[in-house]
Amino acid sequence: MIELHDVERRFGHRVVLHGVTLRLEPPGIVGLIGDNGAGKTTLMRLVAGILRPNSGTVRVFGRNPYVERAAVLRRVGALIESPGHYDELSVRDNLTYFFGFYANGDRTAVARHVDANIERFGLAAVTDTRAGELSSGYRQRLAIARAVHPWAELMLLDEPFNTLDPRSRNEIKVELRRLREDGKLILLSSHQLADVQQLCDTILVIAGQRVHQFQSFEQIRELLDSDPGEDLDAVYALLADRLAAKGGVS
Amino acid sequence: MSPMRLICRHDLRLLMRNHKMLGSFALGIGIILLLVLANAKERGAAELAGPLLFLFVGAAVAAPISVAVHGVVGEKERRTMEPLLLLPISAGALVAGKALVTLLLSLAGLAFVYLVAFLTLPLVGGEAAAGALTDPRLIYTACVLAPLSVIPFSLLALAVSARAPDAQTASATSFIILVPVWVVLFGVWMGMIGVNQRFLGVSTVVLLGLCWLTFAVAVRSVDPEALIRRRK
Repeated sequence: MIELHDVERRFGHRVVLHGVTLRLEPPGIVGLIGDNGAGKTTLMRLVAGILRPNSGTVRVFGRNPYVERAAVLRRVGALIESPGHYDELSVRDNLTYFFGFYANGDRTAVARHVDANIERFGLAAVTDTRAGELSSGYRQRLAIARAVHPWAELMLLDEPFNTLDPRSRNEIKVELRRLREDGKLILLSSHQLADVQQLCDTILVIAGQRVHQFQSFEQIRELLDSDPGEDLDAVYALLADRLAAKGGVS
Repeated sequence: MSPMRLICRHDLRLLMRNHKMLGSFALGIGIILLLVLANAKERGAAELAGPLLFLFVGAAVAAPISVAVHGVVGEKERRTMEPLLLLPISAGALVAGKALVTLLLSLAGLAFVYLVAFLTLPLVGGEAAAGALTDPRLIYTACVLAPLSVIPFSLLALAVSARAPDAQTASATSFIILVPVWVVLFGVWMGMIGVNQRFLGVSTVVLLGLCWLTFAVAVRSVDPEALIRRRK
């Protein structure tokens, strides 16, 4: 479903990603972790076809997402970086507008899926509230409800747990696991390592401009020379330092 | 419903809630209308062709700039540009949808101006002034030239807005682009440029060429990578 081969992406002279090669197939939840500015969002934008690699190839569903963006995005749900909404419109109208682009004019299907996502993502209490009047937690829920649309086979979720309370995080995690059972592939970036540990089948660590693939935090611990203890942040910090010093080997 | 129609309908809905913008649009048209009516008393039917042409083209091109700027800069400011770019729509559909909003608003403004002129000109300037409204050159201007002039200017405003860092810069740059149009219109008003068949023909050809050229420029300017890079 997602294939990157020797991808490099620069912004000016700054190399963000270098020699990235990876292949991800559904179903599964893939966690993407890395320091701020490491390239997590850049990787997602490359997959979504919003950015073009400076070298190497990106294929999603066998297509070049930058060249065939509309065809690829028809099967992708994405929440990248900022949960921007039309503040003048209600929660329902925001979802209806975005879902309308996938439904090929089937208004009944749009209404049905909007209702379903309002229910699934805990937005029933604010359905007719204007997006501009929502709390940051509800804004984030709305952004997730918009990205996790029923036409998507691949979901790109950039820090979806930001600003969510523990109860909401748990509800979203339940939904993501259900999507995995439905055969979807979810690429999820997060700084909440406990969430990544609980949810993800594969962990991608971006360090030293490269992407390193692990199956679990246990596998990461085994690679480390010293014992960082139980704290996942310490495990990650030790690993990231080691990978960055090595220049990284995928 | 096609992506273009979805975008157009959505943007029109947002526009109808933006009373400030609609008010400034109505004010602009009102000022031009008053200027024409003031001239109707002093000029005969033949001499009114220039001011009326100014009125119709002016009314048509006044709206696109602000609406197009708002259509792109508004998306950037409320951070909906990236979610929009993540939808399965082509750059052409995005540009066409947003340009269609400006065209519809301009046509509505044009119809309103024509109606008001039709009702008030006979009262102010007598039968002769009313006769100017049925001049074939004016009807051609109202039906063909004015709508045609909306398209390139709204597309240019979209292109400028996609590259501008904020609404003020986008509006200022877009209004500078319009200066040549105002110069031509002013020349027509003052009688320095004759509104004859040749003028109308050349204007039509130039505007058709500009429509094609500006659509290409606008589609290139909404390249997602460029939008993201500029925002960084």
